[in-house]
Amino acid sequence: MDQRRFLSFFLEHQGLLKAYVLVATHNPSDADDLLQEVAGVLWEKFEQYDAGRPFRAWALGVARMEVLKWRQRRARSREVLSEEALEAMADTADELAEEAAARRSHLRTCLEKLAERASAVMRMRYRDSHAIAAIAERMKQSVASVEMILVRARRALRECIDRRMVRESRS
Amino acid sequence: MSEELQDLIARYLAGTADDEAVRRLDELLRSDPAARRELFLAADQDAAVRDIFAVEAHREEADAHEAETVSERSEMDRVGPARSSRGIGRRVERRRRRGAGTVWSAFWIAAAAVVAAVLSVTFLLMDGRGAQHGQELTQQQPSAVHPGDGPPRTRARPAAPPRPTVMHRPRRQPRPGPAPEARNDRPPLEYSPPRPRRPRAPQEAPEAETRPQTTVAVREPKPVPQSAPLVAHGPKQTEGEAPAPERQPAAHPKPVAPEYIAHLNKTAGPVTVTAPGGVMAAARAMQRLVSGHLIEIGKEGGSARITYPDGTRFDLEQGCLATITQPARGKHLVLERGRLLADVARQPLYKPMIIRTAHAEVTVLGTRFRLTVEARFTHIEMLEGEVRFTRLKPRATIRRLRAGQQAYAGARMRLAAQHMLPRGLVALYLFDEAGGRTVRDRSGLSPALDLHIRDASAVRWERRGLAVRSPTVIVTGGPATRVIRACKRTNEITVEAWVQPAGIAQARPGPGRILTISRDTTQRNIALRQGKASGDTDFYEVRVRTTRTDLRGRPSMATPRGSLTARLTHVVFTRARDGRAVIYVNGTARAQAVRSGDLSNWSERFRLGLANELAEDRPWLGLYRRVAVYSRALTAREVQANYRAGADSGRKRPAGTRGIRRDGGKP
Repeated sequence: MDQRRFLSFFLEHQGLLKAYVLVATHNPSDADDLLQEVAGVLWEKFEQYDAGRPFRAWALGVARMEVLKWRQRRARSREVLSEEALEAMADTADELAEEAAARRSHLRTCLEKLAERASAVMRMRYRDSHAIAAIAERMKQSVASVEMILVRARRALRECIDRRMVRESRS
Repeated sequence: MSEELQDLIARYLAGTADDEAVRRLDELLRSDPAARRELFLAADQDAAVRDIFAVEAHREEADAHEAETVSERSEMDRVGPARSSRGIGRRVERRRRRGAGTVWSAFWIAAAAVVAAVLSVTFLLMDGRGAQHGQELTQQQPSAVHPGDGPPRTRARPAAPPRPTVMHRPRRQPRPGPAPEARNDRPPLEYSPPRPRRPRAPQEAPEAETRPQTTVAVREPKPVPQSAPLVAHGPKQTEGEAPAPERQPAAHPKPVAPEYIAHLNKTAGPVTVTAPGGVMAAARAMQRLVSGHLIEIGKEGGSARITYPDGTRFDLEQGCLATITQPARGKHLVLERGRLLADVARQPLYKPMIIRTAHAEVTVLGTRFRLTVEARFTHIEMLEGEVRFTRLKPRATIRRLRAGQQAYAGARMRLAAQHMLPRGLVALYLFDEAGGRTVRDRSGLSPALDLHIRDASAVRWERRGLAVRSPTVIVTGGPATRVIRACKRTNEITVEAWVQPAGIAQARPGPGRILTISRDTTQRNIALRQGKASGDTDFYEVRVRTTRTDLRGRPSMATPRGSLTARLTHVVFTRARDGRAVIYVNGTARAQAVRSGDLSNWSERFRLGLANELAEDRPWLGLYRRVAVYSRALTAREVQANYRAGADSGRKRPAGTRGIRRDGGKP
């Protein structure tokens, strides 16, 4: 039962934790590695979890510690956000958890509405993990224009989600 | 969002931000909450997009593998073992061996059948209840000797197959204390070790196109091909690092796909299925389920139906987490949380359906009931037939829980068969969840009209009830169509509430909504409010729309000034078919009027909300203990009986129930 309880809690908040570690690492592969470390620590410490408290706050607290450890390891090798900024981001993640979950529920629909070219670039970038230069080469376009397509696609997604959220709140 | 921030976030998340850009972003994040919000939402969107594409990629890989398997089989049948490749020859050889074993199996099957027949005749001769027993034995005999009907643990499983997963289960660590409940039919959950992504075979896409349309094969859990993609987000393979050694297919016996025991259909909203091996994926239409499959329905909305070949059905509602298993005897389902409606076909006497939760076990031979699992208790409501209901800790059983009865199992809760809810009840909220953002509809009707707390920080769960401490709204996910239609059919309604206002003076702008079925402040079907917009707030006021009122339900009716206090109060509004409307306060009629016309002009698109209008511009603060809506006008006697029953009457016998015997079982 413990395993399943843990799984149900963890899977429910996995998206939130993933977003938080992505903010810290700003690299999807590093974020996945770090998320796996966080998941392992959460499971190891699950016995200490007080069921009377929200799992999200507890999990974010653990993730915050792991992110700070990761930061210490990486601080020398590359530029990373400061501890103060990462702490503030953890609080923001907790505050925005519900809104982010609601937004995720609209994402798939909005993805389907993307223009064909933007959708293709998104797939190459997010699904196949191609570098922007590789995408540019394949599409016979400049790197800057591919970057612009991605920026616009992200913005279009965000605006689509905003519209749907507003419509939902009015209905 | 400023252009600069937008550019910084885009570059930061794309990994192209230089040191200077990161420093500037860091500065903004430390000083500006809006910047933090923008970055977090952008990162969350990025992560979610990756997840969606990863699931899509996983599905395509699974399809490609399936097509490959079908293609191999058809090639083997066409070419034959002599001309086939070495791998195919080995498989054929194994099939031959299995074929030789089948002869022996057939012998033992025949012998078992003869013994079973002799035993059944003996029982028939010895026991006068021959007809009944004969029927049971006839039902069981084929399954008892069916070669495929063994415990699932006897079936071969692939040894640690690679998982083409996009989500990982955490690593299982040895933990002190008693071991978790043993489950032989499911391997332990494992935290997938990170593995490098492997390139897809170039011929996969054309093969996928050759997949026959008629194939609805089991894809999960199945032996995953060695060429299948591994974790979608494993660590990067660094330059110079040796690639993972290829596994030799011949090293493992060909795994046998487990038999499916049910289908998943009628899925709506976010529904995921986790296979016994740990692969989690979105549910597919008519997905086959095998023992150990874990089904999760999204908490934001969603539903699914599990259908067994014998017609047994489970309708899983939002937030459900359930595992189906099939041990040697009967069908099993573990409900971790959420609510389901069970419609169980008649089961063999010695192979009952068993549903297990953290608090209770339900043994079923064929019936309909609703089961709800909350953090602290399990609640069962019997709609037809009877079940055996067992509380696990401390163990106690109600041997026969019958139609019209309900029971709770949980710590510090008395186990007893209780009567179900009164006639005409269309929505009931008891506020006994003790946590979370959902207030469950306890009416037992479907679809359940659960309420969602928009801002969890604005409320506090009390030991008994829900205190709204700052403005928010508690509202149904969609229109309260079921309630509205029921009232339109009868042209009657009762709204009953046990509430304790936070004070006589409420937050402005008023009047605060204790309950409303409305679109906004200008269009409503009904609203129970505290006071007036401009003026006193020490009375209750009701507006109900009829064909003789305006769209706001004016003219309103109100109790006398001073009838509202800051104490726990039972307030009831009834409107009968003939137009008589009454507001009762603590069992006494405090306002009466005639609201002629009918309810045919009620909109069916309005939601049911508590503590505010949907736009959150009419907040009400106070404690909710119980709220009920009936599609009939309760009589004065029933209102008084409910008042005497108290705010916790959801577990007592309410007025309006008749002819249901108490059967307490053995606590």
